[in-house]
Amino acid sequence: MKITRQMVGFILMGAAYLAATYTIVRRSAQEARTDRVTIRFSQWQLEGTVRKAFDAIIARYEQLNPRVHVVHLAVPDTVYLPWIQTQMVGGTGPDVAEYVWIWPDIARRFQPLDEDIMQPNPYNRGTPLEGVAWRDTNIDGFSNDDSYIKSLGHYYGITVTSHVNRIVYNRELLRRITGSDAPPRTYRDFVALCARIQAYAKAHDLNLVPVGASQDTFPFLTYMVMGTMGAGLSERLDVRHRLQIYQNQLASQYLRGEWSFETPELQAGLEVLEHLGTVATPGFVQRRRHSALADFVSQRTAMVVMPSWEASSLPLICTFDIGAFPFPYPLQDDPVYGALARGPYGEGPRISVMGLYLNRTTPHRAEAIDFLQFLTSVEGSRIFTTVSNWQPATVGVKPSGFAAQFTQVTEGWAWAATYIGLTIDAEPFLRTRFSTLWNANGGLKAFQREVKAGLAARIRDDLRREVVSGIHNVQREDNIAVAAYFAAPPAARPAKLELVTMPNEVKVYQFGRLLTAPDPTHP
Amino acid sequence: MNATEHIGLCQRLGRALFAGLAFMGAVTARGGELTAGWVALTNYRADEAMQVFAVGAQAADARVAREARFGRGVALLTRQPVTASQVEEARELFRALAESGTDEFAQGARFYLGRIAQHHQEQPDPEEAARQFRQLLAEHERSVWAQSALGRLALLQLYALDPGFTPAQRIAAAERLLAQAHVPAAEGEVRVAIAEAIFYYRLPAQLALPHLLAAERLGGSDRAGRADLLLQIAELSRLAGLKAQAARYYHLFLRENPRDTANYNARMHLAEVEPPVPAPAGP
Repeated sequence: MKITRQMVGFILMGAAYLAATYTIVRRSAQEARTDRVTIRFSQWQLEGTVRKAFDAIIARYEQLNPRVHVVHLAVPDTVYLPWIQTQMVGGTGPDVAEYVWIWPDIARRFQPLDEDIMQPNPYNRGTPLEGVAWRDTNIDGFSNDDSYIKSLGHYYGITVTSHVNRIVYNRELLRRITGSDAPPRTYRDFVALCARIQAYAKAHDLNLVPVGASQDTFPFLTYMVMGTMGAGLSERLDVRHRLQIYQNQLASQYLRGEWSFETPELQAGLEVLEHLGTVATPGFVQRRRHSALADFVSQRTAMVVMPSWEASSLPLICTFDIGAFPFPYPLQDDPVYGALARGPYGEGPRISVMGLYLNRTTPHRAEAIDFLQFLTSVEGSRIFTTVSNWQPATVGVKPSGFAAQFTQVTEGWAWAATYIGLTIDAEPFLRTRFSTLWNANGGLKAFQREVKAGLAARIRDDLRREVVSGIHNVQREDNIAVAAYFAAPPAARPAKLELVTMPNEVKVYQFGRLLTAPDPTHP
Repeated sequence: MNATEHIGLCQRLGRALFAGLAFMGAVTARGGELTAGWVALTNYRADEAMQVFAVGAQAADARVAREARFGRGVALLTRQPVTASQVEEARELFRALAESGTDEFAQGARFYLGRIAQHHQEQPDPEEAARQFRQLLAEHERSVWAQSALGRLALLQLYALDPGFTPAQRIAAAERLLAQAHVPAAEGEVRVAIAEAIFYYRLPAQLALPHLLAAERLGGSDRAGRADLLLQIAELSRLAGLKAQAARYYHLFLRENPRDTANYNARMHLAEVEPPVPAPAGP
């Protein structure tokens, strides 16, 4: 029989149909198995190493718990939010989902984990964390925004990693230029190194600049430099005596005239950033991160600003030895900025990210919690960092290999204030002003003028939105508190309704009053 | 049973009860059956709750009927989108309940009349909110509703009422409310509100210390609120030269919150009042 092209087409179609049928039947059979529970877990970190890490954790978990099957749903970040919202509204959401605290409907879609996180993680038996409350096995004690939802006053998210930004450098190039591959230890060493690289490039007629950056990575530098060099100011601004300052508090204090970008500490930070602009790739404010990466790999820059989540790919694509160092902020011994310094500095607050939330309607709560406990146990976290090259978020678990160079320095002053990442509209406004700071026709004074002219209006808009969302929060929680009161047996009813927490309702009044009264200390 | 297990149980219970009610149709409701409506509301299912309360409103038992009308008011404030007419209908329901008895639903209705004026209506009316809360306190001072209203009245006093008051007068007015606190959690809320207002108005921060100490002693704060209290007490004690008290609260804070982002800062300040303590283990 002669096989025609048409027949080939039909055969291929038939084969595809059979393959699809087999896949569906196999999966359905897996899910239909009555001897085990299937839980579904969704996340959007599609970096190959991270997906592999979760798969490895799941494989080990299923080995330990043959009764439970975990389905890993890796969904692209570009569609993740509408996807997860649709799933949750439709009642088909995964049992465990990656989510972010600023996304909507946390109270409606997910359930609090307050009691769970105060219990020891059973998978830490035989480790130094045996018997330690789950909360205290996390590097920030689940105090990050994704874990503890301040507006609701409950813990929701289990976080699994952390990130830090570093300056990655080409060891071989540095050795060639300076005779040593040791990174700069002080700010003045860094300034001198940049000058040497520029001189070397000029002498050898090379297309080489000291630092690569991009519109994606320069904001990290601005947060780090301003937050760190503003430490002394942050201490003065801590009027609530909490030893840390929330960004919206900082924004409200800007409106009260308690700080500005002309305050000496921040002016010094801007000067350091201005210098960075002169040693970075020309036009970096307009360039994307892959351009900065390509420049570094092609040895057109000796250093590059790099967040740890991108670091895992560097050893694979660089043909030279690489190192990484934290930006060497000016300390008390700096001849210019020493008087304003308040070191030693930590690399910002110790914060973990990638919050995994528990579906409010999951029929498999116990299994989902158990999986999260394994995921964040010493063993689970070790698998995560080993396979992904991302940072672990479990106390005592050491990052492996290259990732170790991105371990956050936490022994140092940190106030959680960045002065740039203020509020929703204020932040992009400030970010876009940096093109003025680094523009040959702009500079520090021009930056300060532009900020002074526009920042307060953005902050006012942002605080107005915070007041509105705060009122919506109060409205919703009023009704929940009353309903929960009557839903409880009479003997178990509280002596006071569990309304929204006082600090949350206080915020509505304080920001609201600030928006109407320029100086709230007077009637 | 913890809170989350309770939610799960409530969800299952609610669905079962609702299914039962739907099956029975317009039966005469008894008190226990309204629980399904409350459970539905805790799970944001306002439409389902309204159906339960609609059945209950027909009950021969006057108490059940009043609870059902109260429940309908709460459901109206929950059902999305919450329109101005829904808020108005809820207000009318609550007004009728508040003026027709002294039972729990009358008190709850009075509480809601205050809350609607404070936050639920489009333009807040702090004077009306305060009037309702004060009446509630005058008539049923020790009730759950009055004790819940106390902290909210303190907020009105601290920020919204009496435009001519100085910050110090606002604080003094709020402090007078403490005499009406009979539940530790209610007193704790008022004291936290006063302390926050002292910071906000930039009054001498030491004025907040006795309120913070009392709030910590009373308990009732959530974990994040308690962490705030412990550190604020430690800091203000250090600044006041109360070294032993400062050290005690720094230690409490560090022990209860070993991973807090302010850990390093707290240890450095603790070192000013006693010899240094080691860093926590791990990264």
